[in-house]
Amino acid sequence: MYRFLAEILSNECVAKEHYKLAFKAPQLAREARAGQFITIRYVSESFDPFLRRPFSIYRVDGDRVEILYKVVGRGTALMSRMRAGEMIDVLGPLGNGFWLKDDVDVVILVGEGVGVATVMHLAQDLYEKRKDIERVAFVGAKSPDLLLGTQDFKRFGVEVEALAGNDDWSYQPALVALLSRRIEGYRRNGKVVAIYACGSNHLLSDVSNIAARYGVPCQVSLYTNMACGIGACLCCVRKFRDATGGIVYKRVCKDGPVFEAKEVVWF
Amino acid sequence: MKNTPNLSTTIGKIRLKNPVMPASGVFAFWEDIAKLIDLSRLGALVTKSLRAKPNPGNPPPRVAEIPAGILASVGIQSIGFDAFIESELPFLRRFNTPIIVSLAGESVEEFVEMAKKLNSVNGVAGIELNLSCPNVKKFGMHFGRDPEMTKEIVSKVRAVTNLTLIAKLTPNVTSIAEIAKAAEEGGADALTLINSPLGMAIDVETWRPKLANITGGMSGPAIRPIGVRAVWESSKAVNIPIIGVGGIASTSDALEYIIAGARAVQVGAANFHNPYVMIEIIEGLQDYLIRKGIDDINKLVGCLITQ
Repeated sequence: MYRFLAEILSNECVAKEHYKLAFKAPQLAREARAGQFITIRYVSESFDPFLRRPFSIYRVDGDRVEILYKVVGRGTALMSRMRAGEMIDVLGPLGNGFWLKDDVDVVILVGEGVGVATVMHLAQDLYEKRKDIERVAFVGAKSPDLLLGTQDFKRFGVEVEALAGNDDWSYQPALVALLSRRIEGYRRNGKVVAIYACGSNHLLSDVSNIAARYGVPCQVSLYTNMACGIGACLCCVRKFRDATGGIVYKRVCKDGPVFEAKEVVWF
Repeated sequence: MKNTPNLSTTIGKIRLKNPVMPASGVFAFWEDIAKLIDLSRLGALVTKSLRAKPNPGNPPPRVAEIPAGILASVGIQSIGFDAFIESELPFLRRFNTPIIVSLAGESVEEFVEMAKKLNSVNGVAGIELNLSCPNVKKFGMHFGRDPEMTKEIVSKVRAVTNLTLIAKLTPNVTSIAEIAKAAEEGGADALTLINSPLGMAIDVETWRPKLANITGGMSGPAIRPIGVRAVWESSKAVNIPIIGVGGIASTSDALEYIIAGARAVQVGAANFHNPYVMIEIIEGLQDYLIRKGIDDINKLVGCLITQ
C-alpha cells in the first residue's frame, strides 16, 4: 500500500454514464492482485467532494492501470470530466483480493454493471497464470448497451454469457437460471467449480443461494460507502455471520472487499 | 540562518514534540496508517474511545458525504477496554509518542473504573473523557450537555488518576463556555473542543436517511468555523489549555485554532481525504513560524487581534 500521484492516460466514455479511465502506475500494475482496490482523490485545492472514492482495477497493461466506473454522484461526475495529462492521487493496493484453490477445473465469473471491472482483473490474472482452468463469465446489465467488457473477457479466453434487461432488472432471474443449469452440467461431468462475483446485492444474494444449493465455493466482492479505505475508521462495515451463527460487523475495506458468500448477511 | 522554531508544547503533564495529533475515533486500528506515516513524528496518539465492554456499534450505513465533509455514526464500536489494552495498546507503545486514551463510559462508574484500571497500565500519558459522542443514545452527549454532570464525572475521575485529564466537549449546547468552566472546576487539565456537531442527511429518491442511525456527527472542513468559535469562546472562560479539533485539513486551518486559543490541535476526517495531512501540517507550521519570524509556536496561542 502506498500513495502516489498518477498521470491520466485516457478517460473515455464507453457507454451511457460509464467511463474507462487509464493512468500510469508501474508499481501498482505489477503488485495489485485481482480483487484488491484503490482509492482516488482528485488533485485539487477543494475539500468538496471530500472523501476518496474506491474503485476496482479493471485491467492492467504494462504500466497502465485501468478502472471502469459509472457516474453515480458528484465525485464520479467530476472525474468523468478529467482529461489525459491531468493528475490523480491514488492510494493502493487496498484490501484482500480473490483467492483460488489449486484443484479448480472451472471458474465462473459473475459481473453485473460496473461489477464487471472487479472480475475482469481476475480474468486477466487467470489468463496469465492459469489457462488450464475453464473460464466462463456471466455478464448482466439493465440494457444491452451497458453490457461491458464482453470483448475483453473473450480476449482473456473467457466464454461469455451476456444477459440484458429492458431498462430493468428482468435479466436477473434468467441469469441465475442459466447459472444453475451450467453448474448442474459441470457437476454431471465431475468438474470442480468456483464462483467469483461482483454486482448488486440482489444478484449476489441469488448467486450466493445457488452456490450454497450446489455446494460450490463462491466469493463475492462487496461495495459500501467508505471513508478511510485502510481499516481504521469502521465506517464501511457490513453484517456477516460468524462461525457460531452470530452476527458480526466486518470492515469491507480491510477484512474484504472479497468475502466468502456464505458469510454475508444480505438483507 | 535562524534556529529551527520551537513546535513543542505541553498539555497538563504531557510534553508534545509538536501540537498535532489525530482526533479520537479516526483510527480504531493503526496498522495501515503506520505504513503510510511515521507515528513517531506526531505530537500524541489519541485512541478511539474505549467502552468498558465490547460493543458492536451502530448498523450500517455509517457514513455519508456532505458538502466539504462527512456525516458519520459509527456508534463507538469497540472491542472493549480490556481487549484494547491487551491487544492494541502494545502496538502504539512502539512509537516514541505520548498515548492519550479516550474513554466512553455508559455511567459515571464506568468512567471511574476504566480510569482506575489505567493506573496499572504502562505507557499511557493521558485520558480524554468522551463526554460528548453524538451517536450513542443512552449516554454520550447527555453528560457533556449538563455542566453539573460534566463537573461530577471529571471530578470523580480526577480523584482516581494522576494522568493528564482532558475533557472532550460537545458543541451541541447553548453555551460551550459554561460547560468548559464546569470541566475546569471538576479538575480537568485540558479541554478538547469540539466533538461532532449533530447533523442529518436524506436520500430524496428513497425518502430514507442516509445513515441507519438517522442522525450523525458532522466532520470535515464544513464544521471548522463552529470549532474555532467554540475554542475562542471557551479560551476566554478557562485557564487550562485547549486542544482544538473540527475540520482541520491544512496548516492554515490548524493556525486558525491556535490563534483562537488552542495550544494543540487534533486532525480527524481529513486523514481520510489525505493520510499524510498531519505530517504536512507539522511541516507547514514550521514553515509558517520561519516565514513570520516567530521562534516558538506557543507565542501564537490566543494571539487573535479583535480590534
